[in-house]
Formats: sequence, structure tokens, C-alpha cells
Amino acid sequence: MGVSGEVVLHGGTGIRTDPDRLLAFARQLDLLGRLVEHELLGRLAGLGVAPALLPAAAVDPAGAAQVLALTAGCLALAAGVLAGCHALATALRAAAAGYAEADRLDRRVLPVLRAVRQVPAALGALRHGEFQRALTADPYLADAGLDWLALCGGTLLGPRGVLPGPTPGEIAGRVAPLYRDGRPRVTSRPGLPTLDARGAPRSAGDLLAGLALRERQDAGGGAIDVRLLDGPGGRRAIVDITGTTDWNLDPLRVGGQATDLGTNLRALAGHPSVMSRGVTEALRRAGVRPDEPVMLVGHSQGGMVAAQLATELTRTGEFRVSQVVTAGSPVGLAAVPRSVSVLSLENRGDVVPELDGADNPRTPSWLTAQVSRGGAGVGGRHAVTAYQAAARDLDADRDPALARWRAGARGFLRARTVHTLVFQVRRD
Amino acid sequence: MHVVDEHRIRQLAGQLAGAADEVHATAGRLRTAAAGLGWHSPAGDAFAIVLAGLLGRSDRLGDELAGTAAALTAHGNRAARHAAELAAATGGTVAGRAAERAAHELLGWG
Repeated sequence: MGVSGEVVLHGGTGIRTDPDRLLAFARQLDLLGRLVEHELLGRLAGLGVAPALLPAAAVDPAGAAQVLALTAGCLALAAGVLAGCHALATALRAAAAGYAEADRLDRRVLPVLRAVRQVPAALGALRHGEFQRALTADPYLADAGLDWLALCGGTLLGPRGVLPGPTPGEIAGRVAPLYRDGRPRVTSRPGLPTLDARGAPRSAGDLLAGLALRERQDAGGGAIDVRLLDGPGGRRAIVDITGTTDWNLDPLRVGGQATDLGTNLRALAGHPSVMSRGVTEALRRAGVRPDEPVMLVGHSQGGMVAAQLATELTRTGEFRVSQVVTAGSPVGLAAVPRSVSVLSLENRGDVVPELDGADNPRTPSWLTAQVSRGGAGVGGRHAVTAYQAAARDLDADRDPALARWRAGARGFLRARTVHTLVFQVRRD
Repeated sequence: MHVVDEHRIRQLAGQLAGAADEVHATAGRLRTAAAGLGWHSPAGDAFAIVLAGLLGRSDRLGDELAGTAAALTAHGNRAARHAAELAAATGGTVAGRAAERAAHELLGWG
């Protein structure tokens, strides 16, 4: 763990704990589990067939029946206690690892991050001990989110050789199974507002405006748009995928919210999730055909889901994803095929795109635009509104790489009509 | 011949009673340790609620084990008494054989 005996203070939220104490408690839970598993279960199961009880049962059958009934009740209770011990000890160890790595991140990684990124102005205010405070004050990175960040943080710069160990994607792949993924329940939400009255999108700024609206009015989480476009090049679809709404650290607390920590971990590991399956189902419900080009647009977690889904749908061929736009998303580990054009917006001072510890691929099909917009602090820099403003800046930029991206996305930006269908993805 | 091994039954009941005590004691130690855990966060609060449920079930398991041990002891005593009464009435050897035969038929042995 590396923080023996040290109390981790998570700044302004009042979060306080000691990872070593959590681990010690997990060991005590193990003791109860072992007592039940090794001492009780076998003994109780053997009681019904103990040779000494057979003659007694013959002369006192009512008493024997009572003992057997009580034994069956004990067995059921013991099985429940054993399962509870295992589950709680696992959750506790995950939490302890998260807090410990958060502490390590705060003390060791921030200076490295500064040096590598060479943006002391953006992160300069975050002196030692204040990194966690800044993150936990951020609506996007609350208590549990910090722990997820921390799980990745110990190896934040691993692929560059600064810190050894598995990649964040590998860590995410190990932790993700602790969180139940479930099945998507996709419902139509026709009452939610859209930007259809403004006409079809004409620019990156318009794309992000639609995403920002959906994120502001997301019906409690998991809302997505399927914008159906009609134009000279035929029918196309743009899908807006919103970010995380529930940073549930506790694997036992997985609920109906599809845009949660489990989806983050699965997307970071490059695995399908309830959210990616929900988006696919929404495309089916919208009547999008396999040959119609699709653009996936996502903020934060939404961008991660978009990148993973582009990879998967290209493999299955169910839908033809030709464009992905991500805003503030850690997508450097995503193996998006080169047939898909990717535009990634990364705001200076937003640490979320850094969480994967990897630079985005430098290929002709992948353009990463470093932008600078939004207020002070991690929250302001990660907000979708900051990325919306940054996209407007890009629209005015004459950089040849951006011009190439615009040319590639032309079919999506010259449609005559747009009709938006709003869906909500929940976990069943 | 003693067909009902009262001593062995008491021994089994004693083991269950001991396990009940151990479950109660372990749950108690966990409760004390949890009070000093010092985990103040939403995740910590959620953990405390789940733990309280687990310790409640553990206490109930301890109670049920103790109840089973008591029932087993009473069953052994009753069975021994019935066997003795039967032996007194018909002769030990005959009663023993009858009880064994009854046991085998009742529980599907042989």
C-alpha cells in the first residue's frame, strides 16, 4: 500500500480514512468467514447423518425432526454470513487500495504530471496536498470518482516508464468485474428538448452544443440523442453520449444508473458495457441501417464509450461508425480502427483525459486538439460547456489538420434536415 | 448395550454451543473494530450500513446455533430416557435391537 499508518485526508469533502485500518478490518472479516466456512458449514451438514443421532432419532423422532429443522436454518444463515464476509472484505480491499493510491498520486505523480505536460500555469495552483482537494471539490470527480482515479493513478504514467506496473486499462479490467454490468433498458424520452429548431449541425461547435444540451437535461442520467440527418449524401446519424453521473465506489451499490463507475472501468479496459449496448439498441430503435454513416460524440465517459463502441461496431459490422468526437475523455488506450476518423478535444488543466496514462495515437485518422477554455479548477476545465466553447474556437481555426477533419466530417455537417430522437439507458 | 450414545450427542451439542459463542465473540470484535475504523465518507457510510446487516445476521446465526445445541442436548436426554424406559420394560438387548431396527427403517439404512 505504501502509506502505512498514514491517514488520507480528502480535502474539502471531509473524507477521512486510513487504508491500513481498512485492510486490518478486511482481515477480521476473513476470520469470521473462515470460522463459518471451515468450522460451521461442514459440522452442520454432517449433523443430519451423524451415526450417534440415528438410534436417538428412532426413539425420539419429534426431537430429531426439530434438531434437523434448526440445523437447516443455521445452514442457510451461515451461507449468507459467509457470502457477506467475502463481499464486504473484497469491497474494503478495493477501497483501501483506492485511498492508498490516491495518497500516492497526490505525493508522487503530480510533480511528474506537471513536468511532462509543461503546463505549470494550469496546475500550478495545485500545490502538494491540494490535488485531491481540487478533484473532490469537482462535481465530476466526487468521493468515489477520486478512488477510481486513484486506482489508475498509481500507474498514471506507467506506459511512459515513469512508474512501473500494469497499465490503467489492465487495472480497470481487473476491477471492473466487481461491478455488476447488467442489461440495458432503453426507453424513448420524447419530452426532452432538442436543438432541431436551429437546423442541422454545421460545425464542431454545433455538435458539442447538442451534447451539452443533452448533458444539462439528461432525465437523471443515461440520456442519449440519435440525431437523424438527411442530406445530399443520404441519411446519417449522430449519437450524443453523456458523461458519468454516478461515481459509485461500492460494488454492492450498483443500481439502475448506467453511466456509473462500472461503465467507466469497462470502457477504460476496452470492454463492452451496459451503456455501449444501450447505445447500440438505441441505434436499432431509431431505424439506422447498417450502411448509413454514424458519428459518435461523447463527453468524458461518453467519449470512452464512443471509442470502445466504434471499435466493436466496426468488428461486428452492425452499424457503420465513420466518425468519433470525444471531449475530455481518456481514450488513448482505445484501439479504434483507422477506418474511423477521431477528433479528440483535450482542455488544458483538465486532468480527466490524462487518466489512461497514454497519449492518443498519432495517426492520420486521429486528431487530438489541445484547447484552452473554461474557468479555474478541474471542474471548470472538464465541464462540457468549456468544451463547447473550445469547439467554437476550433471552428474558427484554419489549421490544415482541422480543415482535413472538417472535410472528412462534411457529410454530417451539410445535412438539410435533422430529427432528434432522445433515449434513456438504464441498467436492469 | 446402549443404543443411544448420550455422551456423543452431548459432545456434538457442545461443539455447536462453542461455535455459537465463537460467532458471537467474532461479531462482537468486528463491531468494536468498526467503531474505531474512522472511515468518514459516503462510501464509508454505505459500508457501515451493510456491515450492520452482516453483523446482525451473524448474531442471529450465533443465537440459532445455541438454540440448536440446546435442542440437541434435550433430544439426546429424551432419547436416552426413552431407551432406558424401553430397556426396563422389555430387557436391554431386545430394546436395543428393536431400536436399531427402527432406526434403520426410519432413516433408510441397510
